[in-house]
Parts: sequence; C-alpha cells; structure tokens
Amino acid sequence: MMTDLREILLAEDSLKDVELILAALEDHKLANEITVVNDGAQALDYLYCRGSFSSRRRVNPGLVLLDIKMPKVDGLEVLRILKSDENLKTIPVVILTSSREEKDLFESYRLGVNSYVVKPVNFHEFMEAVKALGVYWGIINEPPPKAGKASA
Amino acid sequence: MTILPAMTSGMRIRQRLPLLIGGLILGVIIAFSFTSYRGVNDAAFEVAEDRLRSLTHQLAETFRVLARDLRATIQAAAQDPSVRDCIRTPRPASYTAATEVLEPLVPPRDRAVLAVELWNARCERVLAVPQPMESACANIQKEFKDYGGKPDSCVIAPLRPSGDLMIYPVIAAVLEEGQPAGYLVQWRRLGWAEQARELAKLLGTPGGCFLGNDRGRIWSDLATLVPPPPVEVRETSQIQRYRRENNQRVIGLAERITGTPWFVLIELQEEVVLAPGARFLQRVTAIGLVLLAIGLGCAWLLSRRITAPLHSLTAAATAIAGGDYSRTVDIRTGDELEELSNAFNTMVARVRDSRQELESRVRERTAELQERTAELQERNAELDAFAYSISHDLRSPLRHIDGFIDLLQKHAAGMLDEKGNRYLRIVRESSEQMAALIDDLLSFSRMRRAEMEMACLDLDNLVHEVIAELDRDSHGRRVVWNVGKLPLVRADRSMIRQVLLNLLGNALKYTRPREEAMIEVGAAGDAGELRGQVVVFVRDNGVGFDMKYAHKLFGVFQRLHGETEFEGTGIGLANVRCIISRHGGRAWAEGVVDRGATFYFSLPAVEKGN
Repeated sequence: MMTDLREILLAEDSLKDVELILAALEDHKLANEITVVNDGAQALDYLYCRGSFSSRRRVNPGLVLLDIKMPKVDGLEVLRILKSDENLKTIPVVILTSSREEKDLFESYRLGVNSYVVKPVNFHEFMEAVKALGVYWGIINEPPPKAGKASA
Repeated sequence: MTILPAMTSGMRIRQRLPLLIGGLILGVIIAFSFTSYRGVNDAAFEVAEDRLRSLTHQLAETFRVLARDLRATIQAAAQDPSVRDCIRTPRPASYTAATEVLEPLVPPRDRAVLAVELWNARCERVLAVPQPMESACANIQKEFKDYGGKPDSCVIAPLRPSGDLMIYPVIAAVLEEGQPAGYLVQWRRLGWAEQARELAKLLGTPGGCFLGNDRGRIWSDLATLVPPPPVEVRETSQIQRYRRENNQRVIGLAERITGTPWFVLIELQEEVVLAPGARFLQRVTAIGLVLLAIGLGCAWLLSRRITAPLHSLTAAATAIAGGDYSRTVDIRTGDELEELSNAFNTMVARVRDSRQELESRVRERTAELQERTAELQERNAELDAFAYSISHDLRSPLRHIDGFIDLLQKHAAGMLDEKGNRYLRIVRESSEQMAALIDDLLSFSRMRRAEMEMACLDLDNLVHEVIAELDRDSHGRRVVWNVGKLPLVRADRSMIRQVLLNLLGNALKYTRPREEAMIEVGAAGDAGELRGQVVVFVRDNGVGFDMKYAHKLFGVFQRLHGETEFEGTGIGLANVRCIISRHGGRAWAEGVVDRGATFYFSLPAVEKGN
C-alpha cells in the first residue's frame, strides 16, 4: 500500500510549528520521510540539490509544505521559482500559513499553488488539518507520473 | 401731491422724475391759465360794458338831438298862418299858399321824408304833399294826444312798418286861439338810419344797433323790422345777457331817447367781447406746452444725471457680486452721488482685501489640512500594517500555547492532579479567547481596507438569508421574526451581510433571557439630514442598554455586558459602524434597560427608475 512513499519537504521558520506539525503527522502515523528547512533559501537549496543538500538523492519530493512568512526568501517567492521551473512545477505545493489575507491567497493561487491552508489556532483543528493534508497529498493523491529527478 | 408719488411708486426713477415734474408744470400751467383767462374775460367784459354804456348813451343823445331838430322844424311850419288858414278855410287859394309852405318840408333829395300832410280836428286829411300816405292810416289826433302832451308841442310817434320800410310820423298841432285846430304831419322813414349805422360803425360797435318803441314788439335795425330781443330790455337800464335767434350770445343795453317814444338798444357779441380772452388762452396754452416740453426735457436730463450713476453703481455691484473685484465706479458729478461712489469704491476695496486675506487663509488651512490628511492616511496605513502583523504574529504563539498544552496533557495525563488539569484548561480557554479577539481584530482591520463592490442590493432577500443562517444556531428558542418591507440600496453585499449578521445576531443574543424573542426589522422614512437615504432598524425585546453608554456601543472592544452574561469580543458593532460609514451612512442605537434595544443604520437609497 505505501510502497513508494514520497518525501515531504516542510519549509517553516518556526521550530515550534515544525514540532507541532511533526507531532501531528507522527500522531497519524504517516510514514513519509519529512525534510524540514527553516527558510526559503534552504528550501530552494533542497529543491535544486545544492548547498547542504548537494548530496541528497535526486528525486523531487512528493509534497512541499510552505510557510509564507520566512526569513531570507519568503514562501511566495519559493512558490514562484518552483512553479516556473519545468522540472519542479509538477510538485504539489501546499501553503500552510497563519495568514488569511486576501492578497496572500490571491497571489498564491495566481502562482499556481495546489492548496492553501490557514493554520488553525486550536490544536485539535491544527492536528486535523495537518493530518488531512498528509493523508491527502501523501497517500490519496496520485503524484504526477515519472516524477523527474531534481535538477542539478 | 400725495397722489402722484403713489401712482408712480412702481416706476423707475428715470420715468418717475419727469412724470412728477411734468405733472407739476402741467398743474401750474392749468391753474395759471384758468385764473388768467377768467381775469382777462372779466376785464374784457368790464371794458365791453363800459363801452356799451357809453355807446348807448352817445347814440341816445345823438337821436335826441336829431329828434329835437325835427320837432322844431315841423312845429315852426305848423305855426305858419297860411297853414292855419288852409285848415280854417279850405279854399284853393289857401291850399296853394299852404302847399308853398309845406313843400320845403319834403325836399326831393331827402329820401328820409316821405310825405307831409295836413289834418283838421275832425280827423280829415286836408292836404298832402306830394301825396297822402294811404298805407299809414292812423289816428293822428289820438297819437298826438297819446304821445304829446301840450297843444303847442310837437311829438314823434312810435315806429311802424310800412312795406319794407320803417316809418314814423312827426306831428305838430296847428293852433287856433290856443286850441289845436288841425295837425301837421311829416311822415319819415328811418332815413337817417344809414347815417346812424355809419355812426355806430364809427363808434365801433360790433354787434347790432336797434331802435324800438317804448311799448309793443316793434324793433328795427334802423332799416327794417327785426324780431324783438328775447328779454325785456326797456324796463331797466341794466346790461342784459341773452341769446339771439341765431344762437349768438350777446350783451345788450337799452336807453330811452328823450323826446321820442323810442329806445335805442346796442348789442355786443360775447364772442367778440371774449375774443381777447380766447386769444390769450391760445397763447398761454402754446407757451404752456413749450414750458412743459422744456420742463420734461430738463427733468429727463436731471433724472438721467441721477440714474446714470445709479446704473453704473448697479452694474458694478452686479459685477462684484459675480466675483469681479477689480470693478470701480467713476462718478464725477461733484454731489452726493460722487460721495456715494467714493464710499462704494472704498467698500469694494475693503471687501476685496478681506476676501483675498480670507482666501489666502483658506489656502493655508487647506494646505495644512492636506498635509494632516496625508499624515493621517500614512498613520492609518501604518496602523493597518501594524494591526495586520500583530494579529499574524500573535496567532503563532497562541497556536503554540494551545498545541503544547495539548501535547502536555497527553504527555503528563497521569502525573497531573485535578487542579493541574484545571489550570491547563484555563490556559487553553484563555488562549482560545485571545484567538477569537485576534480574529475579530483582523476582520475589523480587513473590513476597513477591503475594496467595496457597490451594487444594487435587495435588503429583503439578504435579511431572510441571514435569518435563515442565524436560525440554525437558535434551536430550542422561541423567536418571532417580524420583517417589514425593505427597500433597495446601493451597497457592498458581503459587507452589508456582515452588518445584518452582527445586528440580527446581537438581537438574538440579547433576547436569550426572554421566553419569546421578538425581533423586528423594518425601514423608516428618510427625512431631515438623512434625505436621500434609507433608514433600516432592528428592534428587539431583549435586555436593552442604558442610553448613558450609547456612545460606547460602537467602539472597538467595548462591551456593556459581562463575559459570563453574554459572550462576544465587542468588535461586531465597531464593524457595523465602520462598514456603514464607509457606505456614507450612519449607525446609531436607542435602548432602555430590560425593555429592548433598537439599532438603526442608514444607506444611500437607490433612486427610482435606476
């Protein structure tokens, strides 16, 4: 059933949020491997297998969870670069943010985001949301065929 | 003098002044002409009467002298012995002698003498030279006695018509021993009438000169018989006024001619008498018209002199009222009008100066205001960004608190006692409350910045939609909704939906203690300062509020009830006011503690036909 579980890239600057998200995913027994980066620059390094990620396996992640407000390069910028890259644009991207602002929503969808989720304050709701995300994108959703190798 | 101003009160000065002056001149001319004319006429009459008296008297005197001479001639002839002899002894010899005496009394050249006759006492014609006057048969003796008097006198008898002529006899008695034995009669026509007429002409009598008997209706114009004058002129020596048969008005005076039974009457035509008056009136009228024309011309010039400066003042005032302060009035008449124009120019200068000052002040203030507005807008933007980032940045720690408390609960479930768990629960509840506050703050901030999509909006539908949504959350309660007819408005649908959700939700919330909640939604009229707007109200029978705190109702995070009584963050009504004022309307409330509250808001109405 879970024969080819794809990696999940989580870009989130708040370590506490990372811990909560991981706890949620763990709580729901998602077995996907999760890579955590703390800013947009690292996320791009990961996607392009450079910097500290130059030695990783050159396979695109099955899902990218992006926070918007991040140091160095923000989530929307990462989304823009990712969706304008032929090799990367097929990767499902979910914005996971505390912003409910219209302009953020609008900009995200304009750039081709696959899903936009507002982090609920309530922990249970948060857990449910993360779990639903994990289940949907990690398990239910069929990834695009021949998921290309990460570009050099 | 009070009629003219009253009549001319609606006129312009340019017309009124000439009219007044013309009226005055006309009045003076008419009064002057009338009195002068009367005076001239009176004087003319006086002169005419004097002339009449003197003429009449002169004529009477002339006739008297003529008559006296006639009488003397005839009387002298009557005393001739051959004449007496002829009457006493009528023989051919005495006839011849008498004829010789009488013939000189009938001179052939004198057309005035017709005949001379000799009568005896038995009233028989004894002798006639050249032939008897058959046409004028008369009782000579009787006439002599009637008009004569003494036997030795000679009388002139009354006039009588004979054919075309007016004739009269001159009778003298032929005495025999002091007694009349017969009569010598000379028949005359008014032969010397022509002379008399000449005389009258010479005296200058326009009108007529008449002779009449002292008795009867015989009157003559000195030649023929004429109708008598219509009034009795003989009785009195007064001047009479009357109308002649040809309808001419005349003045006449009669006087007895001494020594005859005649009256002389002289008439003057009034027309002739009054001719100088008429001429005077004509002249005065002509002069009056000229004066009137001059007066009107002068008055017109004068009024122009007065009104022309007034017109230029009016024109300048109009221009200045239109905003042209460069206009001045130039009047150089050297009188009050020039003073007025100078004062006017000074006033205009003052007004211009103060207006310029005012304008520059307004400009300064406007600039200041614009600066302030820009500053405020900047501040507002900053505040909005601040609120945005705060609410964002506040959410994360809250989420962490909530999340880790949950993790802690799971992790330390067995280790915490009842108290510890309660503390954890309180922490969680607090974080949830703070999250609600932040969400509301965020929505408020969003509402202030969001773009509005104005469209024609049917409030009726929207209210029912909101009620349906609220009803889902009011299970187990008896709520009576009473929705009146609501108008169309021009507004942003989602924002007004939020307003209705807040107001109707509040109504539902604050009627919770009531067994049966009564909530009324309706439209009030547009009147007063809210003309052109639609006023909608939401009335409930809930717990109401104290009007003392009405001003606090619409503030952010302002609450009039405790958390334990009614939940809520206190942002709903702040949102309502913000949305309504962004629509150009107004929101307000009325309430009585425990009797319910009414919330009103106004929105621009959709004009009919749109």
